[in-house]
Amino acid sequence: MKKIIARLLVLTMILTALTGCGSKGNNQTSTDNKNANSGTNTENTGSTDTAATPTEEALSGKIVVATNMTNLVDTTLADLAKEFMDAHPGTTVEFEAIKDYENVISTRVAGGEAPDLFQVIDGMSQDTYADYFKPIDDLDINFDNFLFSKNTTGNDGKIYAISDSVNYTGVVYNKAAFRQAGITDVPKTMDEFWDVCAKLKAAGITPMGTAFKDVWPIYPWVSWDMVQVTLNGNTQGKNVYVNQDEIFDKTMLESMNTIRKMYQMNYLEKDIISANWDQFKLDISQGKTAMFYAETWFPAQVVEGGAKSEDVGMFPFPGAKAVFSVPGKSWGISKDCKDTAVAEAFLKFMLEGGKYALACNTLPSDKTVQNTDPYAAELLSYGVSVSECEIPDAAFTNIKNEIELDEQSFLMSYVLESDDTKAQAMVDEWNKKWAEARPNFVK
Amino acid sequence: MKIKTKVKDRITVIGFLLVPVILLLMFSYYPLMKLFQLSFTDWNGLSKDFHYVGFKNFKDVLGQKELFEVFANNAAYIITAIIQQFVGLFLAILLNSNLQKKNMFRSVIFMPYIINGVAVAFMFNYMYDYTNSPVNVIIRALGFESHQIHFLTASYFSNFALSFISFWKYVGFTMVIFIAALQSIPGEIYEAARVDGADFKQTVRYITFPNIKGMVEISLLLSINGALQAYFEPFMITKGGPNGRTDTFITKSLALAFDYKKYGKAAVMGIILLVMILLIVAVQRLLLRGNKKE
Repeated sequence: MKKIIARLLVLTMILTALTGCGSKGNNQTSTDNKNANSGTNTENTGSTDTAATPTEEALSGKIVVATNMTNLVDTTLADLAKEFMDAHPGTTVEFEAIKDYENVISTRVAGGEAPDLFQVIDGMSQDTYADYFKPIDDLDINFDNFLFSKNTTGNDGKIYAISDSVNYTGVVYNKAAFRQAGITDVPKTMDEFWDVCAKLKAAGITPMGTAFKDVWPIYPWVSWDMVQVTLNGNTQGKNVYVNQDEIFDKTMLESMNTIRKMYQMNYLEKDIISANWDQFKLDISQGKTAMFYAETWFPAQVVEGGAKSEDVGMFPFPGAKAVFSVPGKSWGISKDCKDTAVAEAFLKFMLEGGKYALACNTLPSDKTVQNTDPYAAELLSYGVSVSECEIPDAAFTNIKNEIELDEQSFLMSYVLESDDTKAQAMVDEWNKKWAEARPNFVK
Repeated sequence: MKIKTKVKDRITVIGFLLVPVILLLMFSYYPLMKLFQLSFTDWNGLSKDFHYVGFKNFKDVLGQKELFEVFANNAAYIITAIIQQFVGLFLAILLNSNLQKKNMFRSVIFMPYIINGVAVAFMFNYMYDYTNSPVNVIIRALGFESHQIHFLTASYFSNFALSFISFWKYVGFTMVIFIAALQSIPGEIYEAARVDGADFKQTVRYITFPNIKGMVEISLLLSINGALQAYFEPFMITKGGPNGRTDTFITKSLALAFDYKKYGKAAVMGIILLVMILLIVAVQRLLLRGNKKE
């Protein structure tokens, strides 16, 4: 009896296991078929395109577009998808909002279940784009009209993704706070900057906010590309460091020492170790804090926090050689996408005219679109030229991960260290690790 | 007939067991096997394939002494966990007596346990803010400006500030465990002891404690286990900073996996933690069993 039961049990277990396999196998074949079909489809569309026939072959199929804008997925993004579907009956475009985008996408990519259209995430580099995306060189858009259009090029020279938006870095400031401290002009040099800080401090206003405890908000002070462009106008950005043995060189230290000096002069929040992001946003909205070094995505949040729109402004970092333009999220078509033709058409649709960026209330990367953002307009009105960085070498991130460097946490420690010699020793230690690891990644 | 009922019973038992066993295998043992597998690879969390690198990850982790220095920070959580047992026991004894409104007190103390962890962290984020903390607002209002509290500092104290959060959250749970244990002791024993002339100290020593020892063991195990695995307080509030001062073993391994894409190394840290917890359980069992023989 026991044996029979045991056998039955084993049988059921095997069956349950096999059911899984069976259905998987079926799926596999059906997707293979679909793949084959869509493959021929794309080829067809390709040939009709080259034949320049005005009537496109009708698109059909369904794609899922993974966005991180959870708050817009039912409103502006749904409208965007609808507009596309109305123009192309027979297609279905579905926006999927994903919280914790980086982790969810990486899990799904690793599991072979990437969405059809998704953003490049951390850990994908020119070494590996081809593992995740289809090349989009043949996409029917004018790449020259787009900022950063070559940034997401793989080692094989093919383009795999394209950026939807752009941000410019600069100092966001509360004009009401400046007025209260009797400051009429924004600082253009470092000397003027220190004057402004002193005046703000004297008026009882925190000159510079950091939201230090949350670590990430201090990134502009220690982002290699941002610092290189701002202080040196060097568009090589991170690539400078791939070719040298110091990861925190003179240029980086200049930026890091500025914020360290501000801490020592009490120009940052009263108790920076407990200064958090939510509180900081309230403070800058209410004019209790005057400035924050960030990008053009930030002013809208200050207004959201209660500041009057005309009271929020941006100026280039004092003495900046150039205003750094930061690529927004880059979008690519999943390697496993079945309806490539639809995905390509939608990618073109959402990028041209900056439709997606505008739906998300960011600045489009499409250069032909008129800039309507008042904060970016003010930032660029000070006559400092705009500069983007060349494509960063994957080796940079690889070395950084190898030596386990978290630059923002390090900056925190560096700022808090009151002893100059000890602070320098901390810098030397990272430089040493960088120099040791670099030869393994750079030929 | 007899056999048939036996078979029936077995089928019922197996039927009931099948689901939990499959769930257990799928969601506990399979991931555990994966953990062991990953610890020998260089997986980066993204690619579909990986390479086996032998014991490289183990060597790397064991050679990096700063990864083990963070146990000093975990120690703060362990100390708090032990204090939590005493406070939990104290509250349990108090609320097991004939106190008025004791059910209300019980629910109030237990409440934090059911609040979502993220909400708790968010709340303490404000609580520990220097300028806006309600505590400091009160201190200021009373006119003691210079005595405002820096909850989070660059010193070791920050770890206690963080572990206090889990103390606040879990002390109610500890209390409930102890109340359950106390209520399972029959009143007659106490009565008999009183007749024999035992005083309060003696009743606690010879009746209460031996009867709740099993529960103390479980509660202590749960708390120390939790203390070693502490991560969400630093993860949500300080991000391990400043200067790695509040990093715990888990936040370190999370950083390895998700920031530096070293899943293999992170898996090794998971295994090390697993072994440590097993050791602690073993030691604790030995110690408490030893007492029993007395």
